[in-house]
Amino acid sequence: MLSVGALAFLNPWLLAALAALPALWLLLRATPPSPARISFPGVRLLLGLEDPEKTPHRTPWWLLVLRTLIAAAAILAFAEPVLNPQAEREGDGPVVLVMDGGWASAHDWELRREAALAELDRAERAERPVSFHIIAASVPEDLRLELRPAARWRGAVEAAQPAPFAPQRLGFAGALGAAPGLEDASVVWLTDGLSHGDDGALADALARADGLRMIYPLVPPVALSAPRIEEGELLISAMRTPEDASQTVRIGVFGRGDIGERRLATLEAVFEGGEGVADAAVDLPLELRNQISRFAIISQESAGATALTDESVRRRRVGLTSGASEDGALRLVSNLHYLRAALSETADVVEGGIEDLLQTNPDVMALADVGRLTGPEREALEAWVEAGGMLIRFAGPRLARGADLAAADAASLSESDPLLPVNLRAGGRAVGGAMAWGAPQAIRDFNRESPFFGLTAPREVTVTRQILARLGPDLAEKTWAALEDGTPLVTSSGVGAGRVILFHVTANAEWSSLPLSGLFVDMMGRLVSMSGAGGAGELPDDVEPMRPVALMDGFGRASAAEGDLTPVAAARLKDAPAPDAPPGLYAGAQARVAYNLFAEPVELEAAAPAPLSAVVERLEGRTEQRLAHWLIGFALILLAIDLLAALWLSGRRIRLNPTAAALALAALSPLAALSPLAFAPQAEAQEVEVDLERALIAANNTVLAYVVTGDDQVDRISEAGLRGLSSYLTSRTAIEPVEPMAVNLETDDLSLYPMIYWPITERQPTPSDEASARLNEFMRNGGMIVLDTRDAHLARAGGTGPNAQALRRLVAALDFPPLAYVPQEHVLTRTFYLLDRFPGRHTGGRVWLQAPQRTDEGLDAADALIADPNDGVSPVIIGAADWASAWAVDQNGDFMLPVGRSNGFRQREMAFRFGVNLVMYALTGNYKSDQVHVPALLERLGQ
Amino acid sequence: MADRSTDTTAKRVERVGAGWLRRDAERISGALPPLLAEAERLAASVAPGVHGRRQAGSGETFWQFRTAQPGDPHQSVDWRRSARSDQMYVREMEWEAAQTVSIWRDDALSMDFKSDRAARSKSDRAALLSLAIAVLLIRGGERVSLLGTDAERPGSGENQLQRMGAILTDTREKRPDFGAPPRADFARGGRAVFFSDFMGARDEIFPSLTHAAEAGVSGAYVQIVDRAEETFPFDGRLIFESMGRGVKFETDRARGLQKEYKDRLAERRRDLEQTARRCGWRCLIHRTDESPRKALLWLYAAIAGGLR
Repeated sequence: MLSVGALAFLNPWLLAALAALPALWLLLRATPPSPARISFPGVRLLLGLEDPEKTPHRTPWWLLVLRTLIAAAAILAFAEPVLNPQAEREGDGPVVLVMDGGWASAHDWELRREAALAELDRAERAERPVSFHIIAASVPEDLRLELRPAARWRGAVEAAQPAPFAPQRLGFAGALGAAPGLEDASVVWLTDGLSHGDDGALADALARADGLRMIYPLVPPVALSAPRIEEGELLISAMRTPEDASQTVRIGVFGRGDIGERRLATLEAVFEGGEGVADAAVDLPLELRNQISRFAIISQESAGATALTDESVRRRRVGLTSGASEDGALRLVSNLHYLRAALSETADVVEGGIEDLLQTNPDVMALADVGRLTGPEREALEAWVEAGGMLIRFAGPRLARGADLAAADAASLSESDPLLPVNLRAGGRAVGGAMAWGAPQAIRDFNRESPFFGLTAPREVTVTRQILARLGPDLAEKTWAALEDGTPLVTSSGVGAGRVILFHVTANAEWSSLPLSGLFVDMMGRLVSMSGAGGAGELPDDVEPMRPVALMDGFGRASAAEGDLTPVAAARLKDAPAPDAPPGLYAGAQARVAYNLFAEPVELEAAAPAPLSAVVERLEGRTEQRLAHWLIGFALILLAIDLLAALWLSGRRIRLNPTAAALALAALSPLAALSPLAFAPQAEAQEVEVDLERALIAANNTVLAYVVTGDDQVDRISEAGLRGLSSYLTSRTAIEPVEPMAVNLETDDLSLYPMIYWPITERQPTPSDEASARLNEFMRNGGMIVLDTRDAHLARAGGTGPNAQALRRLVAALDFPPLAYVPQEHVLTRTFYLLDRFPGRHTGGRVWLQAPQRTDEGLDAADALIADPNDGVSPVIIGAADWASAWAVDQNGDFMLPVGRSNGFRQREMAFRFGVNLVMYALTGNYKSDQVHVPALLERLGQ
Repeated sequence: MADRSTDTTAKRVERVGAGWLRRDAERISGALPPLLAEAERLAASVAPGVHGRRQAGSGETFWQFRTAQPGDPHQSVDWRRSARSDQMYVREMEWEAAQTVSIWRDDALSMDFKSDRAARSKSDRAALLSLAIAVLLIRGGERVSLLGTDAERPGSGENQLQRMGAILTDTREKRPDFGAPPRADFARGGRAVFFSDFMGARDEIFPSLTHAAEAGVSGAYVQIVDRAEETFPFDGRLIFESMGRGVKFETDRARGLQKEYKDRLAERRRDLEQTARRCGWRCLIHRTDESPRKALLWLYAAIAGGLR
């Protein structure tokens, strides 16, 4: 084999024939085409005539070039050129198969797995032992090559899953590099093309082997950084290796609501050429924004392309109330001015009366100098604090007066106010005034127990007046901040799930200069971030153990952590995830932290160039392509041209005769197939005509449609299934559908079909954006899609089957409503037959549809119609029972596939009944659901 | 070759027009060869202007009375007429004895030539003219024979026409490249018409022509040529072949030969005309792109005029 770049020749010795081309040239030149022969009766008269001049005869140059080209093409063709040859493995030593297997391998995991299996196949054929390593794992102490027959590895490769962290290149570089026996092995490394900070160490270590082949991915991975808040905006960054091309990445924003996770929004991050980081801002109403649980790049399922959120990005809502009347004219002495200024950056600020504010469900309530609370206000506030609210109160003249009264009460009742953390002493204290003894007091450094620990109190912040707490045994631990002389400045106590905090000074600059300082802003920021359930999103102390609550797998799916995971120290979470600390949600005593692969937006770093000795390939990108047939075809076309030219030269004109032309076309059609573009316009015109015809049929009749998956077998079954269902419908119900139709999501008009059956196959191409948009439009306008993953028999008990992932991929861009299992008594169970399960070819497997909406009493009929234009019909039904196979009948009306055990008569009948209900449901809308209520209505009328 | 001729026949049938179906049917049944039909149509355009012999002879129609000469038999004296005067009169009938006209249509391969722009081959034209003149002659009561064929025995009437039509549309096998008039036993005093291109070898054609003259017949040569044979519109490197591939001539630049070819053609025609003049024949050059009527009129005048 001889290779030139990506081209190789299987029979290179035939290329020697190319050397004969000049000789051929000369030969052709010397033998011009024979002269034209003409039958002419007058020839006798010509006999004996002499030509007036003699000219030498040469073959025309273009004919020479043409013929030489034909010869060259034929020689090249027989030398069997191959594009991207899969070099046959040299040697017969062991094969070491290394997979990166980290998060960056997840998005094309199927391809990788197939490539790995292909390598195994090859090794098996050559009877070479294999050792298989995934390096996104903890590095074993003493790594040895584990040589086994290739077939024995198959299970391991098939079961392998990507890890949610980066491959441990450096560790494995040492371990693999030192593994004995590597020198004799040839290494195949399926890499993800990123550096992961190893700087080519692993490649260098592997280059020690008897041959290194590196297989790079076709599509470079894209990652997401942890979401962050900048200037009040929630930002998320997509990251890639810097490339020249610009790229748009769609980021799905998912939130956890009452009914499970759903998509809240889709963002677009645009990488300009050369850039590696692209930001996208989340623009959502606060309620939705605070529901966000994760971000994920659509169409790239990997841990790196998923970012979990924690409390740190939640934007809090703070309610502000002042005891004093607010006058616009006196802004700087306003009770709330400094609070507003301090909070506007970090939280949503609302103002109003206490009860009004509580209606808006704030995380924090700040009461500035509110002395007296009315009974209902007090009750509402107490309930709210108990439920987890954070109440921040500021002292002031009114509070002081209230405290005086409370002190009088307390004397008799000895009962403390739950809305104050400490009992207050009557009367305040003034320091540094004209009548006072001492100088104004500064703030003491915060101690470790205080949430303000770490902030520094500037010396110039002084307090001139304060309200004093009554001494008690727990005063010290309730104190979060104190003055130099030890009197408390901020006290706090927990009430139920919530917390009450008291600033012993006013919220304006009257009593102290604290509100004027930056410290005030920081203190408020800390307090606000503490608010809400679960506590702060900031990492606590380094040593505090953090327990994993939910962990991500390599595809970026978070699932509840198993119980036996050891907690990690909080300090560990500052570093990148690794086998000992996979990304996910971690909880400490107070903090609950999202631990993402990328804390900060940084460009992904491409891997160092492969070592010179390595063979570099790409996943799927390098399939062998034989070129011989193209060359032969090319030579044949040239030969045809040459034939015509020779005919023309010898004076034989070709008359265009319709039959002959048709014959010639027929003869040329194999050639035409080589250049499909030539005939494309005609074909398209034809298609339009067919389309019209189809559209007319579909519009004038009820037609069941199925999505073409590209898998012949599945499509055939879909069609047969819908045909079977159609005939069943015709015989049992008033619905008389005509022959089912195939629908191509990319090209066909969907609006003509009431119901589209969509079987899911793993190989199906993801619908383009336009197709997804049209599907969304279809669902919005009353269409129904029945998705069938056809794998109920493969699903683990209660879980999803293998096609669920394909389903997720296919419908990633679709706008599904919240889904739920089919509830008992749902309309679908009684549109025609009364059903309690929905078997297809397989039993089991649950059926999902749009979660029933809670009926709001306030909503009248018109509003309800606007809110739900689909007339109560779920736009999507998802199941796994492979219904089409149960329905499928062939042209003779015989069932095509066996169903269930024994003859499965009952199960098939039930499958058909489900089909009837399904079509009825799709066609009759809420009419049937009204019918369901008829007994109830009659009963009510009877009363 | 046979294929081609049936092909042209079929085309001809088509070209005749709306009546093709009936004629085609008749052709198949053999009742009326299309050639005959076409020839009759062509003859019909000529016949009305031509009249009888205007000559005394044996016949049934009265011609004139003349005074009896010594030697006239008794029987020929018309007694009724003679009784009215002193002289004896003989009643003469118009001469109605049929003449024999021999027609030779060259059916050599060279006659099959048809250049790109010509509508018909020379052979077709020759057959058409042969049959048309035969129709005219037979209508005039003459006896016609087709030399070199089964219809060589002179005959008259519709039967002879049918036979000739069939022969003329048929193609015989083993035709030579070039044809020469046959040395048949001509009826002395008869007439003859030779249709050919006279492109064959000199020493085959001219002795035959002289032979016919020596046999005591007079008549006409019709040289039928294609337009391409007159203009020689060829150029480039070519091999000229006779129709049967028997004769070959290769040239590097055909156009250079045009003048010399034309000279030779003119010389051949001059020879033909000279021979004709010497033998008392007449000579016509007919090109296939000319109207056949012109040639027919000329021919009729030449033959019938001589017969008068």
